[in-house]
Amino acid sequence: MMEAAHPAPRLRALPPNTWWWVLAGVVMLPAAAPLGVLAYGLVSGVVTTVPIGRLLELAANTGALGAAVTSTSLLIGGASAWLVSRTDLPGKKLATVLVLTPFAVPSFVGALALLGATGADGILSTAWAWMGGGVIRYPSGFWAAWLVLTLISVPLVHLAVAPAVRSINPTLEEAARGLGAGRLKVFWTVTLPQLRPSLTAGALLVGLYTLSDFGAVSLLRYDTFTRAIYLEYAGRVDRRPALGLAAVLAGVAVLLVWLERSTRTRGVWFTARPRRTGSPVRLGLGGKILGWGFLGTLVTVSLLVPVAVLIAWVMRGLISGVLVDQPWAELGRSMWVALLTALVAAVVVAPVAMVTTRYRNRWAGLLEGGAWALYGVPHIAVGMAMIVFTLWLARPLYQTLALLVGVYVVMFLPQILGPSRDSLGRVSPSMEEASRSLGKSPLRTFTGITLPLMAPGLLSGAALVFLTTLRELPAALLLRPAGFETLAIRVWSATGEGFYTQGALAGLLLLLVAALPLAVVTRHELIR
Amino acid sequence: MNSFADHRPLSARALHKSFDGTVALDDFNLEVESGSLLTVLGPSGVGKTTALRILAGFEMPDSGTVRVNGQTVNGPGVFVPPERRQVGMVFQDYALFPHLNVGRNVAFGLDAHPRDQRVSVVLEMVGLAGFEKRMPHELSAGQQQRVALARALAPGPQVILADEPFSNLDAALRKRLRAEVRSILREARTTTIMVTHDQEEALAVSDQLALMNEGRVVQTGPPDHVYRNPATSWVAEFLGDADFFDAHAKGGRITTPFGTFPTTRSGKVKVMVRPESVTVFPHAQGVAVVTYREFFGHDQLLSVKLPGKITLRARCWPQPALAPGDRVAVSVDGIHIFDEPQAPPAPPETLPGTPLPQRVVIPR
Amino acid sequence: MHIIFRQSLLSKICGVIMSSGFLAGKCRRSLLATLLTAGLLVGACGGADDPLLIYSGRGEELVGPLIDEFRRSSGLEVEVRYAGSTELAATLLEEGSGTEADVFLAQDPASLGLAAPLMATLPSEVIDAVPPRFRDRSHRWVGVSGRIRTVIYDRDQVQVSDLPAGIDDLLNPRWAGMIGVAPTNGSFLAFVAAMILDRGEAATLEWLKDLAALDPLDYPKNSPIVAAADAGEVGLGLVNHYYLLRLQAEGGGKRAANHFLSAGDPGSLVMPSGVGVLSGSEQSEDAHRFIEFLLSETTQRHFAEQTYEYPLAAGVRPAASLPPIDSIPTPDIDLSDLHTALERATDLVAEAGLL
Repeated sequence: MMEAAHPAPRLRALPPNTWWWVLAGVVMLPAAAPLGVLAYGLVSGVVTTVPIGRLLELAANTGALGAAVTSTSLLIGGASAWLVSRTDLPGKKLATVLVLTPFAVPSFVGALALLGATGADGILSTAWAWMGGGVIRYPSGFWAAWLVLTLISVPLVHLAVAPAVRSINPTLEEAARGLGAGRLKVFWTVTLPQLRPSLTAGALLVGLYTLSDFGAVSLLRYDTFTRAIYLEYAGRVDRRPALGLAAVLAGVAVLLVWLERSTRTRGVWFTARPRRTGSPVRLGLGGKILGWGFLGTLVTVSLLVPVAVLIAWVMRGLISGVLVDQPWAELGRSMWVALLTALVAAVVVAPVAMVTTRYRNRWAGLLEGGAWALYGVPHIAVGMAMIVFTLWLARPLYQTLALLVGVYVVMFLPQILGPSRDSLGRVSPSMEEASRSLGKSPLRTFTGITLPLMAPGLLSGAALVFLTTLRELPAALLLRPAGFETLAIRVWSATGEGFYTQGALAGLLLLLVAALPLAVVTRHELIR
Repeated sequence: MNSFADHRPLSARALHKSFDGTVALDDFNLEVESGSLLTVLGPSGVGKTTALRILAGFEMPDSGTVRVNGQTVNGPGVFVPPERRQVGMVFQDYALFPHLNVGRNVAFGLDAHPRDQRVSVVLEMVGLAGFEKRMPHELSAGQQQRVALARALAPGPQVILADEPFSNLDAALRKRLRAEVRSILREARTTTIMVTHDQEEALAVSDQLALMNEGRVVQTGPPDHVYRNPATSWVAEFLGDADFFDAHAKGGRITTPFGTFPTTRSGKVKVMVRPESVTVFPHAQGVAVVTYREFFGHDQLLSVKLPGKITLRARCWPQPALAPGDRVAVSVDGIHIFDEPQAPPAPPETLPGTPLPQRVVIPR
Repeated sequence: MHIIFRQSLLSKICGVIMSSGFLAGKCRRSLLATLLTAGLLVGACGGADDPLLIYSGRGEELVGPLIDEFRRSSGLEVEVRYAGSTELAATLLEEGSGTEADVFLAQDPASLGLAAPLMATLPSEVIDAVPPRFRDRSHRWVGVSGRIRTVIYDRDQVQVSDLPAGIDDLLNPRWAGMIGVAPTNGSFLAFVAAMILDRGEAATLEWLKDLAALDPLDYPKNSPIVAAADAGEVGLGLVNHYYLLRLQAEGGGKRAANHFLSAGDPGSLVMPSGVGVLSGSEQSEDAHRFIEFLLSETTQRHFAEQTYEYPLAAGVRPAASLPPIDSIPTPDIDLSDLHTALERATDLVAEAGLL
């Protein structure tokens, strides 16, 4: 006769709420600057200064690398996700941690490890020569970039696919087997389609990552968009070609972001329903050995060897006495800028989170979409745009720490927006109303109720922003104040100059400090 | 205008509110007497919650006045924010602060001083003495509900507003808890406005009912009065069971298949009969035929067909056991007469029962 | 479940902190705000006393110790922005007269030439310390150290008798797959620019294309090429002269050797690194002190003994293993013009497919 659970009234906030909108607008307004400059660059730069042949060449190179990295990391990451999530492999927790840890390795550190391992005086070369082999040549170009980026991308795929693998509906497989389909057919026709949304999401994430990467391709000399942008920037007085290329790259990236976001919603729908999870696939002894062999090789190649190479270079430097200046100042600057960025992001994200959680209208969509679009635009493009923007229109900000932090905050906002919104989603507006009706002002309601409930999301989001800022290279390269050399820049320039000892020490330090926030960030937030 | 009482705990006058062109409140008027429990009752979507949110200060009316204890809190150029209205609120989802324990939840609206003492007094009042250190998620739904009530009571507000406070509870708990809440409120001498869509709940706990439809209050009064004297056929139908049929009034009387009733009207009218005022008994020459029977143990509900395509339900003594097809005599202990919707409105009439053609000796 | 635990624990902690007292909260917040604002302002405005800002196109590893020494000896506050020479020249041009930079220290004359319109004429006592062929003809920059383009070779792979006399000999098919180049490196581009001035664009492009046809191995910088020659990874490499000497100082470089081309073509270009003062500088006196420091005997000796470049002033002699600078035949071009060909050099390198 009457409904047991009456649906909650439509979420509506308190009357004096316009200032959330104003704040959110103020926060997101700077995002318009780089996008605007890039749009200008698209018109002025590409049309007039970039030969179409060059554009196609870069597109082909970038596309080839993206396709290669995506497909191999899907295979490897898919396999590791399946092993860890669907089988009775012993030591799965350890395996998960080991497989995911390379996520903390920035691509330029990966490139440094590869370069430091090979070549005339590389660690592996030396070891190999000692065993009687010849010199292992410097890898360069496509294959080198492919190797480094694939190994770094595997954790991304693993993170995206593992939950879907876990929630595979076993009854469907059983039904298919019952209807007489063989194992292989079941895999292709039943299992794989269930994984498709998460695989697509993983592929797009990796594609976006590869597209944006600057560190590895520049150090390993593979001619993609990001490297070309930097070469044009560093080697030419005319800024238009660099800006134009940056604009093209940004456009492609925004397209990928859009694709990624639209597949993600479908993916959630596909996997979110509660189901019976199947009993794990039983591996025989051979299967277990094979499984751990695979995971062990993966971890060795993507984590142990790179770290060992870095340590070996540092040892070599200590022994020969070459290692004189320690990058403590760089470490301090890296931590400082990362801390500032995380703090500012945690402060400014609040109004954006409020507005985009509590309102479902066009403006909220625009705010959120803008934040995500900028998140996907490769940093080198944002950096290029902001150089031009500050030089022309905001000269007092040119090459200041304030600008660098501001750009980081705007670029990385979605990383903290997501977790904050998750937390905020658990705060029902009625809690705030209850506080108001108990005599608390809007400000005290925010500080006493909303903020504490948002805090876990803010904290893990801030940790993620901290991590990302630490390892960010291209924007720092372009926008840093004079003399503001960070660890990332140190690794990059030392590696480029061939001073592997210095690079290795800075790289190791970077890995160490990057591992700290990783402990706070949950896997859930990593793949946002 | 001066009938707008100044010292009632809360009064609302001529509230209008629309959202994006959809009218939620249309000339909403409400007054509540000190210490009484007033229930705003109406079906879903008639603007009950909007009205409550305006009274609490969470929503701004397009026009109209709200006064709390004589102070205007909404009016031309006046808006007192919720935190300064002295209006407590109990939410449908309780809205307990999940990061604060019970004691801190209850103390949230209290000023610094006699805080702990007041908290234990209020918790004792709701039967949760000693629960201060528990976290909200450790409580059962009923306990959460009572914490929410204690939290709203603690600062001693002029009025407590409660939005569907029992709707998240299962049926058995709901019945028990509403009696408890009723006595707690009475003990605290608190003025309460509650919103619900559940007629049974409203009739059971309220001192005053305000029936709401299409954005306005259509009738107020004590529950039994409203039940017995519904102002409109809508009220009659919404509040309890009712059967309607058309009839013709002529020469100061209305003739129905179950008797003749005096009236002051003439012309086409709508007649309402409540099942509990209908009595049936087996009679071979009876004018009515049983078409359907539902047996409840303590009573039975019969559907009978009368001449003139009239169908009435009768809630009556479980005996005798009647079956569909049985011919019965019908007596009706009072009818209500409403004007046809097209006719100009006139006050409805409630007519006493008339001598029955056949006497039934069954105690009611 | 792990997440939930953390969530509730944290929210409890935060709730206690936040609700324990509004006033205290206010203090914490304003402290935080002050810290933040202060941090950003320091970044935005810099100190009250502007330091001498040097844009250095030479790397921190090479210049850093010198800067430290200058800080010590002069007592001045010095700040350095390190980046590529061309990148900094472009940055200077973009910043225009509003630049904060006081000094531009560059690896090559082309970058100096690009930024020359923004630079002030140097006083004659500074200029006259360096021979005219290593300075700007309008006296806006002055050479600091000399670097010579050479061919590095692996003595095990290449006989001395087979060594090329000039860059055209490099195009011999016998060197296919054996040559190491650093096509994006500033000194390689300066070499290409010199070739454009010497031979014209068409001939330069042709030479570059012929080189590309030999499938050279490309490297980001000169030093890995030298290391590669020393390890036998390449047979020949186009580099600057001093990388080998540095490698030898570290105990390597036993296998590789420098070969100075004798044909007098751009392959043996002498490229001074140089320095100039921005005309907008409000600290030109300090800037001149820095240049004098660079040209002082101590610093010139540092170049000779530590970086193995050719000293250009104060009568300091280069490292013993190097031939005298005047014995190297070089093309007849004015280094003040080198920048005019730089942009085309980048284009041609790209067009030839060497990038």
